[in-house]
Amino acid sequence: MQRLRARFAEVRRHVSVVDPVARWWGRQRLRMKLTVAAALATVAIAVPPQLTRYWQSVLFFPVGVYMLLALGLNIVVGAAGLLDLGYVAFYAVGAYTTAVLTTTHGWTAWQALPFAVIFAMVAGVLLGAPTLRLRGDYLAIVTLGFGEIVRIVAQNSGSLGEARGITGIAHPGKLVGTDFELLPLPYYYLTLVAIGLAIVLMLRLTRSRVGRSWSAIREDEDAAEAMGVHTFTMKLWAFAMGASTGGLAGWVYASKVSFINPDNFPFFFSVIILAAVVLGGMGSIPGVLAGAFAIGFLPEYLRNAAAGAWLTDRLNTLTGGHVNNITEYRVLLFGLALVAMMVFRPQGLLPSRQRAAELAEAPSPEQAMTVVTEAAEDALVGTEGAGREHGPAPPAPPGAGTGKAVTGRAEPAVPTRPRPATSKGPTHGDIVLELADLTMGFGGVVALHRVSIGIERGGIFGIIGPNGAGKTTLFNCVTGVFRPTSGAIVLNGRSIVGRKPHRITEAGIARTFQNIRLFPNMTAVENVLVGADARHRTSVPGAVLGLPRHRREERTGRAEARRLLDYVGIVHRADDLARNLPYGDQRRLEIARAVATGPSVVLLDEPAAGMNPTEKRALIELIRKIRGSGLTVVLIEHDVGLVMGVCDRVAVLDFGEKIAEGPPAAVQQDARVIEAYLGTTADAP
Amino acid sequence: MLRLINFAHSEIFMIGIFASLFAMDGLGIDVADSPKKGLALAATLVAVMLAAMLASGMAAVAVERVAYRPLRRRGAPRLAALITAIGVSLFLQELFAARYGREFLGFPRVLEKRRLFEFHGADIRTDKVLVFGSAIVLMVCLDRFMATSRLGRGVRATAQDAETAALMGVDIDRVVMLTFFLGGLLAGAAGTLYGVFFEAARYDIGFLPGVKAFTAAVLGGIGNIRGALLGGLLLGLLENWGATVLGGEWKDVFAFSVLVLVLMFRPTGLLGERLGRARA
Repeated sequence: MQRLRARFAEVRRHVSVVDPVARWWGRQRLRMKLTVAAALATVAIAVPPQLTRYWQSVLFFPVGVYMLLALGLNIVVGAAGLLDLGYVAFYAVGAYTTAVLTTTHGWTAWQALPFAVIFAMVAGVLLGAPTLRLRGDYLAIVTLGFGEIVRIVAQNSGSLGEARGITGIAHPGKLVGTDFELLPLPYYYLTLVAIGLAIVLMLRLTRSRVGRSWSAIREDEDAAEAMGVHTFTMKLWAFAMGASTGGLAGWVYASKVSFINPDNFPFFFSVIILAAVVLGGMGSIPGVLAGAFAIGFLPEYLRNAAAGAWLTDRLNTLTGGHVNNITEYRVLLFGLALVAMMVFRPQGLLPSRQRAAELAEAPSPEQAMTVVTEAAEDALVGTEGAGREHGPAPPAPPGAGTGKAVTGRAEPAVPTRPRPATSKGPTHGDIVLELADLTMGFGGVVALHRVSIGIERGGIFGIIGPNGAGKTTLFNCVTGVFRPTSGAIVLNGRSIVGRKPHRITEAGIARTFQNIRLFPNMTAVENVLVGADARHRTSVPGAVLGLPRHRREERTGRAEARRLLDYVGIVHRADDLARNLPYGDQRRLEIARAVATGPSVVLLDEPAAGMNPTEKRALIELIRKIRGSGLTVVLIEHDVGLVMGVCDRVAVLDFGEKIAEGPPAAVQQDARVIEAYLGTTADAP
Repeated sequence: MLRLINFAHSEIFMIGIFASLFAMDGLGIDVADSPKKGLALAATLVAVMLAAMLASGMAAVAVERVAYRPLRRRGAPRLAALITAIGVSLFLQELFAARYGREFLGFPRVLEKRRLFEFHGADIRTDKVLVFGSAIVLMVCLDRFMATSRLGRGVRATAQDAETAALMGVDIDRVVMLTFFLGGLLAGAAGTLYGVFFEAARYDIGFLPGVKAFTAAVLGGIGNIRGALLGGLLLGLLENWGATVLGGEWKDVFAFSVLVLVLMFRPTGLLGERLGRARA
């Protein structure tokens, strides 16, 4: 065991040899990166003609095709964090589309090309639409099933050649004076062009609203949804993009080899591509390319090298096998590599910065705590009423001096969006958000019972109540996490009951969470940008083509995000990862993110939880400032002192019913409120 | 139970099948031997099954030690654990492929496959009775164990909230190991039954049953033993009904489609607790 451990440490040291390379790459400026990329591209273009035909064909398949597929799968697994174990299905769809169109229908390969890509994309959407609501493991198993379905369908369908497959698939016709036929080199170049396109596509997407949405989904899907990310649409796009890349690879492959059968598309092909992505580093383009190159090239190299024969012998001794070719051990080694990578270097050989942070480190204690409280909460929702949280905190001592409060700089404008015609701007007495007879029951438990609250535009409205009074449930109903059993919720004169959380965010309600839910491995400015993206429209086509609107939105969005960070007083940490911010700053960042969505109402769920008196005073200033910018603030709070100090109006909930509403001073004197907080003498212990 | 898909479970099952084969070999039973009877049969079956259960159980524990524990210690995301599981699964498959070849290995026939009686047109054969009976017995044992024993409580507590369980004095490592061991034991028993029934073993034999087992578990509701039993029963019935309607070669397609449909409409399974409802 001791020896084994020493061995492990050694392995780790060896593997980390690439670290300086990765760090160096991370430090380089764009020009240097472009130079390196251009140099590599030159090698990729100039060297292959010097090679023998055998190696040229190896460079086409497996190497080139693997690289293309790995880039496609990387969109799904690396960018959006969706584990797809049936990726081969899209490759198969592309290949079979080409095969059927060129043989049965007599099309040319070039004519079949767009259809191979589109059909694969359609397959991606068909698989994605019903299943993308599933999370993690379930999605993995369903995609695996889908991959098998596609293969079995091909195997059993007469028109797809059954197990015999399809022969005589057309080669592409002449292009720029080059004959394709069976020569490997032209196909290699074709693949190279496709890889280049895929890289550009990927780069453009990651630096856009789309890429940010993917990161946000990967980090915290619920929070992303609450910030207005169309999680479903974005995941579907990831699937569609990945699938169409797979389809393209299928087309190249089928038109080159001109013969395919179901055995070309086994389950383990998906795993190989996954291994390439994982080995290189999920989400990292250079990493994924390197990983795919290694996985495609090494077995072929070893097959033809003395080292391969030696390795085969060693492996035979180790396993007690009697295999005479290293390729027989290929899958075994891939399996081993997957385990070893995840155990020793989960971020991959050439990791992307963000994924390295996600995969390498254990969650910090605060995050671990968040997980615990959240789990406890999950268990408790549905039986609201059980005692949780600490009781109402004593009023904060009235102290002078605001500590490190928000500086009184000229206040930047808070983003707004054109208001619906029904609203008349912040005039007094104008109700922005109205709840009428809101009732929410979980099974037999009624968490909210006929609660009616009208919230005036431009005010600060507090909702207080003892533990389990239904405060957070109220927020969850308003933000669309729960659909209320009955009652109405009207925002700016429009009903928002039953809308999806991201739609409600777009309609003008933004929230923060009781336990902070930032996107921990994105920078502060990126976190705010995700919020700002709720007002942006750019989707995949716009980002890929770099349309003017996309550029404009990126430019103004970034400037705005910095302004907002300045607004809440943490602009100096704009480029730090959210997880590295101190607790108070995380709360501020969450508020900035919520304000960035351009809401008319901001819901703050216990913003002062865990804050010290100095931080609380700064928070009060911030809340006033937000109101000063013309927004309406609704906050749930336990700190009675804070609520009484900052709110214009307060509603008190107890056991799901509103027992009082009015100006703070009046509410404080209300007999029922006192009873709810202190208990009647009969109840008192 | 641990909210983790163990892809390597298929291979633990495969190891159970191989272990049964070797155990029979070890008992000196040859492919040419005639089926056993009475007490000799019972003794052989029990011995073989115990050997297989032990082998699979140990293998499962080993897999946990090597592949899962380091990840759990580090608090790695689930995606990482899933990828590791796939890695282990491939490794074990190929290890057996390299060692025992890629062809089917035959099993000796221990149990005479005699027709006992006919029930509404279905043949009730000895081997079928054995498989069904053993499954029920094992399920009841497991259900009782989980419900009443100290370790079973620990497992259930860990499944719900590992951190709190740890704070309450539950040794998580031990519980996880135990869970894997139990899973391995059952897979081993299933391996023996599979071997006796189908009388063949091959390196990739675990893949389909593994996926099906998962489907059954999902169908019934993850983390719910009775649900898993119900799911298994339902899947078996549905699949064979599908096969008669659409033709045998579409059987697996049918099974996967059922999985997709179930997950679409009831993502937590038929008897599953209502996960994912109470978020945010």
